[in-house]
Amino acid sequence: MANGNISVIKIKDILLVTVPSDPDDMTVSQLQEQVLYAMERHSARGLILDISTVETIDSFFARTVSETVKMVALMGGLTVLTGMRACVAVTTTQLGLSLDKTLTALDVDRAMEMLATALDNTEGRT
Amino acid sequence: MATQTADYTRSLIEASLDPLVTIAPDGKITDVNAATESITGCSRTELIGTDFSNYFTDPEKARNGYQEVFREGQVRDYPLELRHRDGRVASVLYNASVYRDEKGAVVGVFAAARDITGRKQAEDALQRATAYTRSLIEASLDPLVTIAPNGKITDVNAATESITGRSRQELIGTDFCGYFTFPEKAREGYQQVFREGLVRDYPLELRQRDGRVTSVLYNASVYRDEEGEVVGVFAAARDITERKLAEERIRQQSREILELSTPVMQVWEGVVAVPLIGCLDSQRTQQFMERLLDRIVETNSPVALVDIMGVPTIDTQTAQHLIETITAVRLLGAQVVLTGVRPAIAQTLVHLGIDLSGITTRSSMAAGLLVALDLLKLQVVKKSDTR
Repeated sequence: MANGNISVIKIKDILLVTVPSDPDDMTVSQLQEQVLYAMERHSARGLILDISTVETIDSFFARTVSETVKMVALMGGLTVLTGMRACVAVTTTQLGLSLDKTLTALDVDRAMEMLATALDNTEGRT
Repeated sequence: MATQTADYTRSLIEASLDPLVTIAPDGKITDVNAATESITGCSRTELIGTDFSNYFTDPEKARNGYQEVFREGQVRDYPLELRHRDGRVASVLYNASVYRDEKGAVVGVFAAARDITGRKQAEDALQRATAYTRSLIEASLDPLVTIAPNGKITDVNAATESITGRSRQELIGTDFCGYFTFPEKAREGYQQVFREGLVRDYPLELRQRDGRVTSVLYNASVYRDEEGEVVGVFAAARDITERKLAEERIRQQSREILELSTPVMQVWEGVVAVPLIGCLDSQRTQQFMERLLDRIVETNSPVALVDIMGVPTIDTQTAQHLIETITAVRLLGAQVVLTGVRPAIAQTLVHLGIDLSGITTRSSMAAGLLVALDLLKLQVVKKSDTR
């Protein structure tokens, strides 16, 4: 059902993924699959996970996101989580969900900048 | 008084459950009791005066029987088959002796039969059962043998004959151990069975008469008599020559695959690459590690690309082996980039909770090569840019 809701957009060597507003467990798992396959297909080096439309967050979502970050890292990509709403941030901290090691940015613009600097520093590709 | 005694004797005779009969020297029946009537299905009057031997399936034998009694004075357990009027046949054993008149002259034969039809059937059944069991033993394709506590062979089946190339007569009574390349080991084997009750898959090598050697696995256990006393060892061998050959072939092939499957190639000056294909077990890891380290030293390469694209699945052990290899490479002063991390493998690694955070990983060999070049402070530049 949720296939259409997940958009994975490739911008140069970065993937921009928008998470649907109220994702169920299936959607979240599919999102992980799609992101990883897109990483492989496009040899992307960065991933921006935009959760600006997400209103609620549960432990499964938090775990899947943090796992995805690790998996993307294994495939050589850097992930930035952007656009978390204030209320979501509050619940996340209150629930003690494990997103603390993830890079975060306020919006997609800043995330792009962040990735550009980080990637320039690590690999000498021109 | 005399009549009373006679009546009493008569009643005893009639009461006997064994068919009794008296036969005159000419072979005619002179008297019978009730049991004889019922076993032959003929009445007393019909029987008396007729030929005794006519009531048997083999009259000749019956005749010989009572003639023997007249000659010898008695016979015991003389087997005959009595034919009932309706055709049924009863197996009987005759005990017979001569009886005499007051003057001591032989008057006739007094013969008592015992119906042994039931017993005979039971015996036949037992015999059939024994034959059946024996045929099963003989039919077994596995060589079977029984061994007495002193190590002598007490029985063998056809398969044992064919595997040893010796006949049953040659085998029985000889030493079990004598037929193996290592008699000591064979002795130890059956002694262990006597000690412990059984052994499983005891490997021995059977020597055939022509000198050929057959690898066998013995399963053996003790067998007991009715009282539960251990009588000997029953041992069944299984010919594993074929299996052994197959195993040897498999070993050889896996050795070859091992050699083939871990080529270490230099892809750039200072960069070696190893594409890993297939499952990583500890033996392969060992070999792969040695080759990689050798090549790193040989080519003086500071970067090694280990590509796991061709590894079907990764488990904790495989990951552990990879980490060991990477640690070993670091000790040389070189660095490993793990490439070819497919989505499925990335997922598995994270789900298993394997921490590879200290290791540079990339999804493709190309990305890995870029990392390597970067580490070597090299740049890939488009031609047009340099002009």
